[in-house]
Amino acid sequence: MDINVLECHSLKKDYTRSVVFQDINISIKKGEILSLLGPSGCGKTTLLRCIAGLEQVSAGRILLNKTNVTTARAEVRNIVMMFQEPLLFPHLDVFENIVYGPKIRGESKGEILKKGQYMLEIIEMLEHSKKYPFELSGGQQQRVALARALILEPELILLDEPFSNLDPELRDSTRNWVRKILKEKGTAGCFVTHDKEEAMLMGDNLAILMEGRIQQIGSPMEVYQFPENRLVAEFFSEGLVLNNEEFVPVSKLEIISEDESNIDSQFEVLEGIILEKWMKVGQVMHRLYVPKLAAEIVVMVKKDLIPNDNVKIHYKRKDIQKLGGELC
Amino acid sequence: MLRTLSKLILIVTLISIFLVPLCFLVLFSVSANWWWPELFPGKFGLEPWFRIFNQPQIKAALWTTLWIGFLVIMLNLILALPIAKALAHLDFKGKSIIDTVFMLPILIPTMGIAMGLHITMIKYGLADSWVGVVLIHLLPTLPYSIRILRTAFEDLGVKWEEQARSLGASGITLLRTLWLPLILPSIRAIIFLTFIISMSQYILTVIIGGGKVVTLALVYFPYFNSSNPGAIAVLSIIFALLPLLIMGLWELIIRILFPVKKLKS
Repeated sequence: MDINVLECHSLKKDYTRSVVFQDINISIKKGEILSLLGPSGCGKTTLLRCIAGLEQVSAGRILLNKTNVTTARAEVRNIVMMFQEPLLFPHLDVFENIVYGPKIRGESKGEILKKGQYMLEIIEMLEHSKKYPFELSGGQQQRVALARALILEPELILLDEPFSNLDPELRDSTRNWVRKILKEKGTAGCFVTHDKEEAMLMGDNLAILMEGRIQQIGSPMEVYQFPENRLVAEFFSEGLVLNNEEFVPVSKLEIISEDESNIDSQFEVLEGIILEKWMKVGQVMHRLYVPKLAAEIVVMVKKDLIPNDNVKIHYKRKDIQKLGGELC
Repeated sequence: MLRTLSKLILIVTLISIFLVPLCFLVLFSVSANWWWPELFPGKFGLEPWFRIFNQPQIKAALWTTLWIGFLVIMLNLILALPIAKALAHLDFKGKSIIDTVFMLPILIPTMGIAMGLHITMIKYGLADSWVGVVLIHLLPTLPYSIRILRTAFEDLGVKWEEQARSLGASGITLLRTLWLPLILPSIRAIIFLTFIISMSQYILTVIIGGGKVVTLALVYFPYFNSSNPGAIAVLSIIFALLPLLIMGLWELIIRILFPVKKLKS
């Protein structure tokens, strides 16, 4: 049976004048990674800090393996948080950084040596053990930070955009690597990001936090294909949001130039203007502006259109999706 | 050209301000008699050194200075660490008032405060004792210590502490494994500054010590009225070497406590 490592019930955080988030209900099973996605400033970091115990929630309960830790201090929760920066202690070398946790727990010297060596092997940095943090590259630093967190065998690891300071290539490889290690060790994780692709790649499940609430939670594909409300559809699912209830996924849109016309009555038509175009994975991408909906959308069009061209956007009535699940 | 000239001016200034007087000091301390208008001492010898160290009063004053300096350094660190930490990382009501209060001793002439404190100390039996002198030496030192540490704490921020707490560190462990190593350079500055300020106090030591607590400054300054340049030179050299001795001791302790630790500074 799958056990919930983390359960958050009706979490709320407010300051005197503003509410950061409310009604937060999430759970993470053993070995599961949950991506917490939201635009900048939506409160996702604050939520993570509350789960870590670095800040207190105003209301609600946090259960860690069925134990209530809502008011427990960060140092006694078996949760480790990894921040945007690796935050390796500058006065300690790589090995000392990694064994920081076991050392302050007072574990035996032999045990510490064994664990540290094992972690160095896992992060493939055996030859760097005597180096100091400033001698390492950004990716290496994050790997050491991960080893320092995992050596404690935490019930849950919280990742607050840990790859955002890495360059794109390193970011991809480090992300894959972190996911692989977490999966191998069966450690549950909560991964915060504002990058949609990263959230999809990293999480088994995905929760969208917007306007202080969890708007939708589910597998990345589910959320992408069946957005539950306008906010999720606009932020995460690519497509055209027609109104508060209706949405057409981008895959169902057909773009034709103005002079062509399709008089088939089952098609709905919207006007659009090409804003810009670029190449991606061998395809020509176009960014369109749809004046009627005041929306922008990125589409793949086989034809070569140029910026400022007027186009028509066609979609079938039957492809309109009801926000919340079913097709119309 | 301009660069060479400015370099030259710098070197000449440094030599004339520091090196020449220092040479004279050393020469004076090892010359038996050197009177105007002789260009060099007529006779060299270590008499001035023997004369100074043969006076039990001076030896006692040396130990008193070191003892009081040590205690003032310790009290400074013990008090400044939590105060500076709180001022840097906590938000609480009346923070700015507390901040100002801790700065007051260096904004208001110390004499004024010392006179008031003298009366209090007489009441509590602390006047004329080394305890009183140690306490009064906090006046001109603690504000600086708090300021130095506060800046260090502010520069470092709370992120390291949060990371360490997330890894299970708290309380004393946090101080020992994280904060102390990170603020080591500031502690070094405090030790040096505090000791120099403490050993240079004359008026405060005289008022509170009542002439019963005799530090090196109390012996040293009256010597300026004497006609013994050799003795003054020897005392001046001791005065200059003492802080260096403290620094050396500190470095030794650090090397023993944190062997072969490379500090990123």
